Amino acid sequence: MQAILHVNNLKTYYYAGNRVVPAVDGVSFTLSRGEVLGIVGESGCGKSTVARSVTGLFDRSYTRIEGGEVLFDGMDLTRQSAKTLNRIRGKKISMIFQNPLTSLNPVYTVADQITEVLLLHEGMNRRQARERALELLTMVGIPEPKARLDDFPHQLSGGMQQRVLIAIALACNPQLVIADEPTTALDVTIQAQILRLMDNIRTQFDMGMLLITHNMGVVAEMCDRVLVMYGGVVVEEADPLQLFDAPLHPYTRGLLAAIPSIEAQKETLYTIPGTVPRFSHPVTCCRFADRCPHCAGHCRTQEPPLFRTGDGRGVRCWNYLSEKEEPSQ
Amino acid sequence: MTAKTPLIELRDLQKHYRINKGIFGHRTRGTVKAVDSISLSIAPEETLGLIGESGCGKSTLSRVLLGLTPATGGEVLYDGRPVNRRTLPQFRREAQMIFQDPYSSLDPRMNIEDIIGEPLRVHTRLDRKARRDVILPLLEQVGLSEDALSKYPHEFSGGQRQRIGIARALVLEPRFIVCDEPVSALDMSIQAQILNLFAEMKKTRRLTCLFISHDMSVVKHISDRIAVMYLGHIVELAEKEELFRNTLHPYTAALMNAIPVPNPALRRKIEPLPGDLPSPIDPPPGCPFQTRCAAAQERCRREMPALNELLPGHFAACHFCKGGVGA
Repeated sequence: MQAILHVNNLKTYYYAGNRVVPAVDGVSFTLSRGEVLGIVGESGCGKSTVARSVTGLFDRSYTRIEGGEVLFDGMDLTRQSAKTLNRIRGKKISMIFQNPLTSLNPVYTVADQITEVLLLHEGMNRRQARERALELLTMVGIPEPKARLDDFPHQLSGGMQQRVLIAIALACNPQLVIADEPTTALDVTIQAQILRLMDNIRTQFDMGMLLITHNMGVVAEMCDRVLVMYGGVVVEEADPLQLFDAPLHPYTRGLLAAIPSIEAQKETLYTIPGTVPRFSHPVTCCRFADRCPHCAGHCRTQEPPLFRTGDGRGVRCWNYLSEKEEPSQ
Repeated sequence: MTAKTPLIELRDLQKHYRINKGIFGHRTRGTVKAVDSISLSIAPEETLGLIGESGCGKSTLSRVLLGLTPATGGEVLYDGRPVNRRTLPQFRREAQMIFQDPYSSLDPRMNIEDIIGEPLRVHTRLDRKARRDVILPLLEQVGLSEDALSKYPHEFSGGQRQRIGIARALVLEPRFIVCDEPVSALDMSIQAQILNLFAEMKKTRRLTCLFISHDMSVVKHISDRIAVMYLGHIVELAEKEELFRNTLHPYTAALMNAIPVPNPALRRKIEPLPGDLPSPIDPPPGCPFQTRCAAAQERCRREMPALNELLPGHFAACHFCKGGVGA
């Protein structure tokens, strides 16, 4: 598979007064064409910040990319001007956000919002753009697309709004789509429709997809590979079968055990004690140490690196080192 | 379970909202039947799960049940007696609610002692010191320390706030609790903590609960029986194991099929239910699910199916599902 996005040791920090929050603290991954890479984690783990750093969509008054690179299409996106990024965003990289109603502009019609990208990036005239918009609406499965073109967002249901957002994201045949919690605001039957649609599109257009979610079910259904994030770092990397079958990191194990199951009746649920702590730069311990049942001495004095296992997985835990004979990093 | 007198019984409970038009709102444009003739009973110490998608009327049902919104028809029986103006104060004391959003359900200008103590102030004559004697052990039971008393809601995380909400609901030692999506706003690892705390409280205090959620796995975990709601109607009701093993209503089946399963080995092609929830304003006659149902026939467009007991203890409202009259 052809790799389209390399993220190397990305560090994005937030500055709040005299505190430095390492929201993303050294994240690396590669995304190929036709692949769905999932980033899963709880709120505050930095998963959305990764997405926003890749596209440069963050508030520069308190956010800075402190290191690393985002290689896309032969350039480092972290070093590009706003003008260059504007030519890439919406054309080669597009985003689907969580809340469809706030992502759409309430005072413009559906047609206006889809044609905007086409007029801007594809040099179409209005008539061509409107035709293409109609095509896109049909493709994302909106019933009576012709009548919907001149609707305003509030006239559509949540699922239809999300379909419009997907149509906008696909308008210019992007190579990479970043979907940040695309179905979190939707009901389960609608979520199933949207996941199905996204899966079809991914196959049809052979694009890479970065899927950010907190829902382990969505990860299991959609992703080819998964990064589990905690406290700004990747704590585990695996393909979903490996991850759900035999999670290596204690955090991943805890998360999976904490989900109530439909098949089996658990008397009490496993819980990860405590809450997600807030970190300040620099971090000099394992970020999960305070909540970890296996925490040992050096977990509190030194942060573990992401150990690579033989079968292409990664785990950020000192105990993995002591359990296995030879680390490869 | 059905032999005992139910603690809570709803008889043809209705909440219809009129939609008015005209500048004076004097003409009625339509009616939203948010809750349409629902009859249910909850046995003592039973937890009834209520599941449905947004807009199906599950929150309205809970509000009407507790008398937070007046019903437009039907009645609520508590311990065999109808809830009316005379019995409402006692009902209010013994029936409490835990809300979905731990941020907006706690007054930001009250400290935790005042928040948890407020029900005591309203319903009892205890003085401040006596109230504290009640609050302190409760605070410990929900997993908070004594120094929380003088703090304000913004100093707590979402999970801790939900613990405060639980303490407030339990402070009057209620018999009945309505939980409206109590864990939906919480992160995965915190959700499990709160569910466990809730299960423990339920057991030690022998509570009767109505547990509302849109998350099937959460409802399954916590409930004894499950009611599935669609567009203001209960479409299926059964013991939870029975509901999952022997699903009767096509909507329940679709709902279960749509849930992403956290097990990639079971990855399947989801066959999503087509279409959206239809507008609840003046729905067409017949079955509320007819617009999305693959098995819908002429009769479904004419005639509203009643909620019938098709198998022992298993109710479904469908003309054509297994064991139904039409099957």
